[in-house]
Amino acid sequence: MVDGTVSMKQEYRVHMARRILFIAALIVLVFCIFWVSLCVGTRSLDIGEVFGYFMDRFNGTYYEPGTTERFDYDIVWLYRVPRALFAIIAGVALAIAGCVMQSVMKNPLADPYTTGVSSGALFGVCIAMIFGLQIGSGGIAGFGVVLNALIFAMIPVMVMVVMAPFFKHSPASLILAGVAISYLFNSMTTLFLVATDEATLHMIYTWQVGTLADLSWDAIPLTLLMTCFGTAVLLPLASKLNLMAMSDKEAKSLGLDVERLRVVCLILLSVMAATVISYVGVIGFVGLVIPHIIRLIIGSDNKFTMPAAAAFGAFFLLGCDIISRAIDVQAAIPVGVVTSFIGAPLFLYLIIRDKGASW
Amino acid sequence: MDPNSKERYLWVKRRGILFSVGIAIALFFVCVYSLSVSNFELSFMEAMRIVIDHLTGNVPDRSVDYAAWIRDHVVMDKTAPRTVGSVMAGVILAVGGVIMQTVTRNPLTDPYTIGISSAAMLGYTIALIYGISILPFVGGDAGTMANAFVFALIPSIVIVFVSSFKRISPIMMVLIGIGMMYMFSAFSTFLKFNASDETLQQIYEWSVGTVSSLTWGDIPILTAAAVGVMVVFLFLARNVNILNAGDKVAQSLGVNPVRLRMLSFVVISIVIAVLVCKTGTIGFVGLVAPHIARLVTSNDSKILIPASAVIGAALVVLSDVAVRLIGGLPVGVVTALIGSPLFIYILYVQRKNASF
Repeated sequence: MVDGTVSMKQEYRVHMARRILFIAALIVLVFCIFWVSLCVGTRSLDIGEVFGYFMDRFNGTYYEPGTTERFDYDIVWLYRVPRALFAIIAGVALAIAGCVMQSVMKNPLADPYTTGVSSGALFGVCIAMIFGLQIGSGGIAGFGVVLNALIFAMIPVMVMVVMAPFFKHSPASLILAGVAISYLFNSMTTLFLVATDEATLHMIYTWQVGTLADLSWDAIPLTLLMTCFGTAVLLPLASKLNLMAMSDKEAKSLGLDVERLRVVCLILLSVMAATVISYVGVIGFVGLVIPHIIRLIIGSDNKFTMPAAAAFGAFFLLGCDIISRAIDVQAAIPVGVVTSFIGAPLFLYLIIRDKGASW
Repeated sequence: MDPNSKERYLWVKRRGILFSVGIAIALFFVCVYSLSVSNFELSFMEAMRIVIDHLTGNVPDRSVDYAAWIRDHVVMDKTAPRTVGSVMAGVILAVGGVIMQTVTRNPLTDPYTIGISSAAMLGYTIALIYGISILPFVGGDAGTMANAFVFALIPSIVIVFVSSFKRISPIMMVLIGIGMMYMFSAFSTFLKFNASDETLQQIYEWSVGTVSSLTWGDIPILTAAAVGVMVVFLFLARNVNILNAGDKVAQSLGVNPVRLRMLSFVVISIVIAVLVCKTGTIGFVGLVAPHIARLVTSNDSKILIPASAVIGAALVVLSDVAVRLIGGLPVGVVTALIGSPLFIYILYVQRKNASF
C-alpha cells in the first residue's frame, strides 16, 4: 500500500517534471528562432552580423547614414526586431486568450474572436479606410486605423459584458449572443465594402487574413503592456479556470464566483486579442487550435496548458513568419495563411494519434 | 407519474406544433409577397392572380397581350424559381444545422462546421482560376459546380475514414473538420493570389451566398435535397432524441451513436454540397434558425426539425425580398443583418429556457 503511494507520487513528479521541461524547451526554442528571424529576409545577414548590430544598440556604436553598415543596422533594428517581438507577443496573447475562452465558455470551439472582437475591429478598419479617418502614417499599421479597430473591437465586448448578467443560466446563450453580434458587424462591413474601390478592398482583405508586414516599434508598447497585464492576471487564475470544467453549480459549491470570473476573463482576453489584431489584422488559427494542440500533448491542466500554449503560440507564430518570409519575400504570403498550412496538418496528426480524448 | 408534468409536456408539444404551423402559414404569405416584388409594382392580390392563372393554364400570349405576358414571365420565370429556391435553401440549411448541433452536442456548430464550405470553396476556386475540373468530360459552369460538390464531400469522407479505425469523441470529429477547414481556406487564399479582379469578385460573391441566379432548372435537385433531408431525419428523429441523452444511454437503448453520427455527417454533406454548388455558402441560417426554433418550441427533434425548417425558409425568403427591395446586396449578408437582432432578442426573452 505504502509502496503504491510512493510510486504514484513518483509517477506524478515525473509527469510534472516532463511538463515543466516541455515548457522550458519551448521557451529556449523561442529564444533561438528569434535570432533566426533577424537573419531572414530580402537582405539575408548571418547570425554573427545580426548579433553584432543587436549589441551595437547597447554599446553605443554609431554608423554614418548612407553606409552599408548603417543600412543593415536599420534593417535589423527598425524592421526585424519589432516584427519578431510582435510575433512573440501576439502568439502569447492569442494562445492564452484562446485557452481562457475555451475554459470559461466550456466550449472547445470558442476562440478569442468568438465574442465578435475581430468583426468589430474589421468594421472599425473599414470605416477608417473608407471615410479616411486616418491620423498619422497611412497603411495598415497607421495609428488612426489602429485606434478605430481598437475602439470598435471593444463594442461587442461591452455588449457582452452588459448582457452577461442576463445569461447567468447558460454560457452557451452568451456565446451565441456574441456570435450573433459578430455576424451583425460582418454584414455591416460587407454593406460598406460593396461600395468601395479595389485598392481599399485589397487592403481590407489583407487585414482580414492577418499580416506581420508593415510593423514598426510604434506597435510594441501598447501590445506588450496589455499582453503582460492580461497574462499576469490570467495565469494565476489557472486553478480557478480548471474548476470551470465542472458544471456552473458544482464550481459554485466549491466557492467560485462563476459569473464574475467569466466576465473578468472575458474582458481581459478580449482586450488582449483586440490590441493584437488592431495592429496586424485577424490572425486566425492560433487562438483556436494552439490550445488544442497543447492539450493533446500535455493534457488539460490549465496551470501547465496556459504557459505551454503561450510559449508554443509565440514559437509557432514567429516560426510561421520566418517561413512566410523565407518562401518568397515579393509574394508576401500573409502569416495567417502559413499558420493554417503548417498548423492544420500537425493538428490533424495529433488528433489521429491521440489516445484519450481531452474533451 | 405526475399528471401535471404530462399535461405540461402535451402543452409544450402542442405549442410547438401550433407555432410551426403558424410560421408555415406566414411563410406562404411571405412567398406570395416575394413574388410581387420586382421591377413591376404588383400588389399582393395581382401576384396571386398571376400565379393562379398560370397554374390553371391561363398563360397570356406574347403576341396578344405583351404587358400581361411580361408580367407573367417576370413572376413565373424570374421571381418564382428564386423564391422556391430560397425556401429549399432555408430548409436544407436549418435541418442540417439542427442535426449537426444535436449529434455533436455543441451549440456553435452549423452545417458548414466540419469544413464543407471551405472545401467547396476550394473546389470552386480551382475550377474558376485554373479551369481544372475534377470530373472528366464536364467543363464550364457544370464543371465548376461538380468541383464544388465533390470537394464538399471530402471532409465527411475523411471523418468517416478516421473513425472507422479509431474511436473519437463527437467534438474531436468536429475539430478534425475544423483542421481541414483551415487547410482548405489557406489553399484558397494561396490560389487567389493568381486570380484576376473579376474572378476574385465572383469568388467573393459565391462565398457570401446568393439566390439571384437560380432558375427552374435548379429547383428539382434542390427540392429533392430538401425533401430528402427532412424525410431522412424525421425518420431518424427518435434515434436523434435518444442521442440527446448521451452516448452511453443511447447505446443501452440500442442506438449506435457513432453510426448515427456518421450517417448524419454524410447525409448533411451531400445535401449541403448540392446546395452550395447552386447558391454558394449562405451563412448564419444554419446556425441560428435551429436556435430560434429551440427557444420557441422544444428539444424534441420530431417538432424541432420541421420548426427549424420553416424558420430557416422564412429567414432566407425574407432576406431575399429585402435584397430585391434594397438592391445590390448578396442574400447571405442580409440574413445576418435581419436575423441577428431578432436572434439576440429571442435569446434575451427566452434566456431561462436555454437548452444548451
